[in-house]
Amino acid sequence: MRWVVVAGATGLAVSMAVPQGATSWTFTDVTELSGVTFRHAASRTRVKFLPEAMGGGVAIFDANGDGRLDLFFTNGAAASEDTTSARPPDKRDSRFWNRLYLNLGGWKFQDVTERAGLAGTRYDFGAAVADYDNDGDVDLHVTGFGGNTLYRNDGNGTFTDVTTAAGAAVAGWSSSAAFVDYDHDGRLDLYVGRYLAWTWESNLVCPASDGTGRAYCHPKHFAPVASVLLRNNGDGTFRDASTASGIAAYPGKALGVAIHDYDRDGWIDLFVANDSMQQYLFRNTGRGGFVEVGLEAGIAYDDNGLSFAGMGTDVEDYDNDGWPDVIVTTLSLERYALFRALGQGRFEYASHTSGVGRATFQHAGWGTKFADLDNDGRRDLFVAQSHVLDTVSRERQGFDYLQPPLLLRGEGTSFVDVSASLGPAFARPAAGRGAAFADLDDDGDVDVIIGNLDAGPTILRNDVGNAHHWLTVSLRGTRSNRDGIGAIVRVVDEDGRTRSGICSTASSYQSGSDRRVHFGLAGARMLRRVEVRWPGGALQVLTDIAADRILEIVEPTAGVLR
Amino acid sequence: MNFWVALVLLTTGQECPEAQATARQAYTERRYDQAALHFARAVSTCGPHGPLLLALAQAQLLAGRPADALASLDRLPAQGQDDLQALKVRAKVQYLLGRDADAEATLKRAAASAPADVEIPYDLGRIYYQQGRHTEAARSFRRATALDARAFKAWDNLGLAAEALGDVAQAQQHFLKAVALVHKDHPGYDVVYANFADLLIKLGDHQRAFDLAVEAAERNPGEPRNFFLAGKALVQLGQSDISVRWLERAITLNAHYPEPHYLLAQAYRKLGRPADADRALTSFQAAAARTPKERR
Repeated sequence: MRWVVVAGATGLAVSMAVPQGATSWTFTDVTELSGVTFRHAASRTRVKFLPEAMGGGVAIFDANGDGRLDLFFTNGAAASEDTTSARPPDKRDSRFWNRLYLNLGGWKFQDVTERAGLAGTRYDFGAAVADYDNDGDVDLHVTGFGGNTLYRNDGNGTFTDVTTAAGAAVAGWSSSAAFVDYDHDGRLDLYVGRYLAWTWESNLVCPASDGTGRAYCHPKHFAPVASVLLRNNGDGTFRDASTASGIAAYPGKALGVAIHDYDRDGWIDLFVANDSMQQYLFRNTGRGGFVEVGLEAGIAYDDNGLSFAGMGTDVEDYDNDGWPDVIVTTLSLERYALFRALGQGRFEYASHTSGVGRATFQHAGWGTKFADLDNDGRRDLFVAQSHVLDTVSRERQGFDYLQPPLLLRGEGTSFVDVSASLGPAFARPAAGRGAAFADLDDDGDVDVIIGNLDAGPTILRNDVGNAHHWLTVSLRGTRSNRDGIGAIVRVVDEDGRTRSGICSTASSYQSGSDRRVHFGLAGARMLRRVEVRWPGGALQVLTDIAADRILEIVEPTAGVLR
Repeated sequence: MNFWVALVLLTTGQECPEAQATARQAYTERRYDQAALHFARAVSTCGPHGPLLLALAQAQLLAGRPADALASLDRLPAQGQDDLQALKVRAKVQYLLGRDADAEATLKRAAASAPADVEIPYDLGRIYYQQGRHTEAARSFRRATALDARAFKAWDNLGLAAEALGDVAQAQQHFLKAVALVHKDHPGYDVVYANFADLLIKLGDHQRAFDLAVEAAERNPGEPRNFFLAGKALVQLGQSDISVRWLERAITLNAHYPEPHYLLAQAYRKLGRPADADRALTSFQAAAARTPKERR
């Protein structure tokens, strides 16, 4: 029977506006008391150089090996209307330095940038972290305009720029990067995402639509460029494997990158968020290369086959069905793109059916992550937000440049916006860009650091409390890479409920998060099983594990189930 | 002065009756290319009179030649430039040329001289909507509905603006109002049914979305979007086999419309027809490559 719309019909159910949920927990902004005085400096000019709008990244890692997670922020450099390739931005002024803060405990941090040797030399954007040389300390990779920097951790609180010596130099504009052992040789390789073909000289004049001056140009005006894959030689050096691996065949406009085994074939794949073009899903062939399968996987475009401005991304299983799903943050009027995995390497666009679309239509997002922030056993979705155009409020009524962060609470297969009930930090507009995630105080919940453009960061302490149980898994590889990056951890509680997560530092936007795998367990005090599928395919199983602790798992050197 | 009366007065001199009559006939029959051709001939034989130039501009606009239309409007004598009809046509032309700020300014000039003209806030609303200025768009469409409560296109677009503002309950109310107005009195108007269906697909109400899309398709069987939306709702309803027929119909109507190709690939994939899915994706890529990024 046909449903007919009749004037004044009363039998029609009318859906309600965007549902707003409530929570009983809050985040506390502890930035002011933390001792972190860093302020990102975009060095904005009247001519609106594109890098000014992209902001910086955040990395959370243990820089000095004291067991506490430290903070690293990238920064711009002094540019002017006269800046050219021959006269590049100047980073010597300490206002433009990248910054490393050591965690002193008790949410206090100390700036050790100069001693660590991490001030930087160029207009930088992103940070990626991992122990690429398997020597037991965490190294740092910084992306930027006009090059990148690979810092080797010397194990004594200092870092050495080994970019050239390691053969890791990447030209052009690099944005997000990811450490990943794509060929299972036990060494972490490095994917360096590159944004587009832009130079200080090729910056265009793009008028603001209200005629009041210039605006940042749309990326459509600039050609895409291929990203770079650096293969780890195992002796502290890398070689460019972009062409051999197939990555070079796909020019893109990469801003975000995340890793996961989306098709569960045992090989870690790459998802790349591209700005205003199709998204890329690089399937690892297991033979040293990748093929781009975004279109056939149903993840390249939205449900209408339209492209969107991919900014930040994360790949993780939010609905606990065992298959990793994908979020891509986008610009206003596009809706953040949520792709729910259907299994067997296929995805469906789920922004509408999950509530993500309705909650984000007016928003513009950057750093993001699926994380179980309330430990209820279902992953939530956090997004650092801001419009890209600082002129947008003038140009378009109802649009704000500065936007508060967004938290969508996971409800299984859908999400509810609970931002309004999470405290003042979620009501404070900012130009959010990078965001990194970690349980900074080891109290069992995931805290958040946001890098804000042209402003200080926001350090959000999660005060969810201990109503729910949790488990954080810290991996140490022996045959695999030492960080265990690429390992898939699966936990099964006493009622048979299963959750899984990947060990990775890469995702979000231009940022690196703690590699430890965190699980909210709701009411489960015990876990029947904890399984680790190491990158080489070896399966390690632990049984009867108590919750509410940080569990260190060392990969056995032999005798592992396969 | 009524536009056609003015034209008739022009013809009384018998200087160019044939060209004008032919042009008017073509215009009435919606053969706008021909109308523009004959009006241009009339202008050259009769002289650049204001009503004739305006008629030429309107024909050129409807023939999809906005740049030519603007050139014709620029030839209007000074006093004719501020004629209400001329301003409204100019604004439409500027909008189609992507000169939104100019179109907005022109419409505001027109509104100052004709504050009760419902067409002006409606056109302003469309510009605002296109620019993503949804608050202003909603205000303009609401103004249009206040001027004429039976302005169904304004109600329809008010629904779109409310949806863009995230107020889907209001959006549905506005669409319902528009549907009530067009249901019997405007049997050829399909757009609101398609817009409403599109919203309901986003809200997960796929059965109702399908019914609305079918209604849209019955009203306008030449519009591929209507068939695409019906097919899209069917895919969501798990009826990929039936959706294929609707999507293929959309493609038959316009092979260069990318979205149905994309959805068809997904439907084929669900039906276990990977070769067909790959073919549909190839067609999608070809269609997408030739589609303008911004549609007006």
